[in-house]
Amino acid sequence: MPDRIDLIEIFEFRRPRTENYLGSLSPHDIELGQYHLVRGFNGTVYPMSDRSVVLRIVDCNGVEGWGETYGLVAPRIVAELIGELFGPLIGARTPDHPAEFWDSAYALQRNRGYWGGYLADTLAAMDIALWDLYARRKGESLQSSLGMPGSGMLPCYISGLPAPSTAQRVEMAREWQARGFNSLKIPISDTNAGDVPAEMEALRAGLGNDHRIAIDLHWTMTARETLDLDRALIPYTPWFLEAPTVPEDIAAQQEIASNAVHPIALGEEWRTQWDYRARLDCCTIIQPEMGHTGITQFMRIAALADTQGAQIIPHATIGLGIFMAASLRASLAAGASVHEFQHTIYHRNGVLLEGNATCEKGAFTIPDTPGHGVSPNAEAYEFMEPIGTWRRGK
Amino acid sequence: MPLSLISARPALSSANSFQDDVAGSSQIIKKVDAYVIRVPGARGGTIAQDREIEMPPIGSLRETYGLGARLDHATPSRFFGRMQTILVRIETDKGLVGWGEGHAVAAPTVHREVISQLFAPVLIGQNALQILPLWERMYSTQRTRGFNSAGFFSEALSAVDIALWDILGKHLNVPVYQLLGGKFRDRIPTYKGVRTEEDAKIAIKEGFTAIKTGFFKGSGTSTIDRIASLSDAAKGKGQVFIDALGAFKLYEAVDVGREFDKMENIGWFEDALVPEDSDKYPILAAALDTAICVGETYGTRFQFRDLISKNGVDIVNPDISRAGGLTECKRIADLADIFGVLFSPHVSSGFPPYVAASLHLAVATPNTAIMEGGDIHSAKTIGGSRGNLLLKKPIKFEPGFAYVPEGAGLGIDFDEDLLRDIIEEEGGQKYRIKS
Repeated sequence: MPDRIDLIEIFEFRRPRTENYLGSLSPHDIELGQYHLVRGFNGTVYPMSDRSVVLRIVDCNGVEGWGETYGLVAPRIVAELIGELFGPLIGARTPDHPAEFWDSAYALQRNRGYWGGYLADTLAAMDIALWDLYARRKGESLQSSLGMPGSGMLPCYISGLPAPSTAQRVEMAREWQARGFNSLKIPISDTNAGDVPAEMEALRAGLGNDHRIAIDLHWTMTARETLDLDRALIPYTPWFLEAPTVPEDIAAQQEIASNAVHPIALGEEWRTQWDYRARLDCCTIIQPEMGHTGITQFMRIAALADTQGAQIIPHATIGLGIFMAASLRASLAAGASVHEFQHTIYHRNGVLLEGNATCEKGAFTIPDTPGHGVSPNAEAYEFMEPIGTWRRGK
Repeated sequence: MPLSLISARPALSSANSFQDDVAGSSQIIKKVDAYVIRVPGARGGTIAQDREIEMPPIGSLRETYGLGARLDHATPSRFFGRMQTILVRIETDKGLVGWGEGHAVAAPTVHREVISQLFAPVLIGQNALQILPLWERMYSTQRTRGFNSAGFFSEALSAVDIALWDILGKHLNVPVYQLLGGKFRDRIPTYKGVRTEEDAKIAIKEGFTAIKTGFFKGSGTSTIDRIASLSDAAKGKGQVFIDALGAFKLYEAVDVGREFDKMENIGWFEDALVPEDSDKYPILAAALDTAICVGETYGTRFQFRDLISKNGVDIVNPDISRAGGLTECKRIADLADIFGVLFSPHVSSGFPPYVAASLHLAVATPNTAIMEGGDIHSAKTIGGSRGNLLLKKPIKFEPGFAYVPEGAGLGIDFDEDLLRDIIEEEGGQKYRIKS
């Protein structure tokens, strides 16, 4: 019999920011209540603070596992779901393996169409914590549990240049270049009113021909507009174009991927291999986000990418960084080529974690410590509010 | 080359306020409340029974849970003894109140969080009459994070949408069906769920012309012989609908579907395939004579587009309180009509806003076929009547038919004293029912 799980603690992680993610407010953005703002260019809601949900799972021997998922909107949802569904499921049957738990928990509501959203996010947090626990019990690293023992290096790219003018953005990129970071991505909001070609021209001139420069279009364009832009960018050799069009429109994604000159990257909003299966020919770079997929689905999506010959360049979102640590290790095991590096978040919140991987000279150095290797330190608890607990009944 | 960020998707721009008057009037949203409801279901159900039903016996878990569930999907959806739902109440500056509902079979406290934390700040201060712009604004807050299919988010959005239509109807003093273009009929045919031949005979005798039964793997009673006996019981008097709850792989569904083809009166084969495998429905539909019904699992028009346009379905049954409310289901019903597909609103466990909204859309849609009715006409409990007994004037059901409520908006008027008594308090698992 596997060791029983006795306790699940759920925390809201919230840490104020001095500068909003994606930069200061434009006239097209609106503040939404106390915690959020809506960006005019894509209508998407963003939190004003760094915000996520952190989980701690403890077994009957006191071994613990840590997980994390999105909590940028209504983080108590995760606590409600664990209290009503996933805690009782763990209580009814202790899983032998994290993937077994993922499958049984997903099955609870798959027939009602819950293939993503909050349910999958909550599962991701549980899955990360269960894998952490699973590896720590064996005294081995997560990558070892996933079949790739040992420490490793993973190249990264700088994500975003939050500065008000093109000249300042080029300057910021050059500073990173001087520190050994040779890859970069800008969101479409880091341009002058969406003038991507002009921004790319300036960056290419400032950084030279060998620098990799990608553009995140944040779902703002039609297929036709994307293909026009794709052609217009030929002189500046972009690395890849990310999230060009609305996420539901698979036909438009397909049209773009079939006709674009440059690689198309998709995937940060996916939860499961089913999301990718419907889009196998819609991109040549996939960007799974650990905070949405958890480790089980991250690895299944990666396996599918392998059969497609697609490159794996995982996404990195905003939070404490537990999901980031899991993503780095799963990326090593999955054969990812590069990982996103959120330079405004990673080290800032990384100081709240024991065991966080370093990121220097364009690469993460990932140690072979047990589990995913990180846990919140004493200071982290100042930003972690308990929002729920599940305990095994007698 | 126009590459302006703002022109790319004007519907997503959040700069404009929706407070502008429409035809010289407005209903500014002042208050948005979401209420968790848990009452004994149609077959009874105390909290104690609920706990029993929550978890299958440990010995059976290896069969239906875990990796086995993924490889050999065997209807492991979680059902509850209690009927659970989420109601939303929106109040405007002029004192109008709109009611909406999300389909919240499990964990309705999650829907409450979505509505109070995410949608309420979007809605407060806005003109409630601007339904479509508000729908797009709510949807766009999380669409790019993968909240573009069915789930807690779409069900919460559905609840708000239905309440906004209720307000618009009350504001103009017309029924919702009038807002949708008028009604093609006053009543909609209904079917009743049955298990045994005896049940079937009773239903037919009561006056139902259609019955529905489950058929899926792992159930001892799920033999073709049982379906044949139901088919015989209804022969010459009615149709039998088969619901597989997403149990089969394509080759299995073709196998059992060919058995249904041999029976004369199988009205449809519902949710035949593993739900995520929806791109195989066109193959199934082409292989079988029996009509294919699917839709309750999906959310937003985007998930219905290929299913309908690629001939994967004959009768589409979106759930108004899951797929995106009246706004989105009107679009889906219209899309179905373009492709000659029939429309049947999925009406499962729920309360009057959900049932009434389904009826308003059903009567206002030319391609409506039928909907679920069951025992609502004779139910004596709140859960069994789907909350109909909480209304000052219940929605009219009779065996085989449901009538669209007349009156402004959804045409439902809660006895709020009765309702207040069963609303679950924040953080509480308690509920009270007047005996």
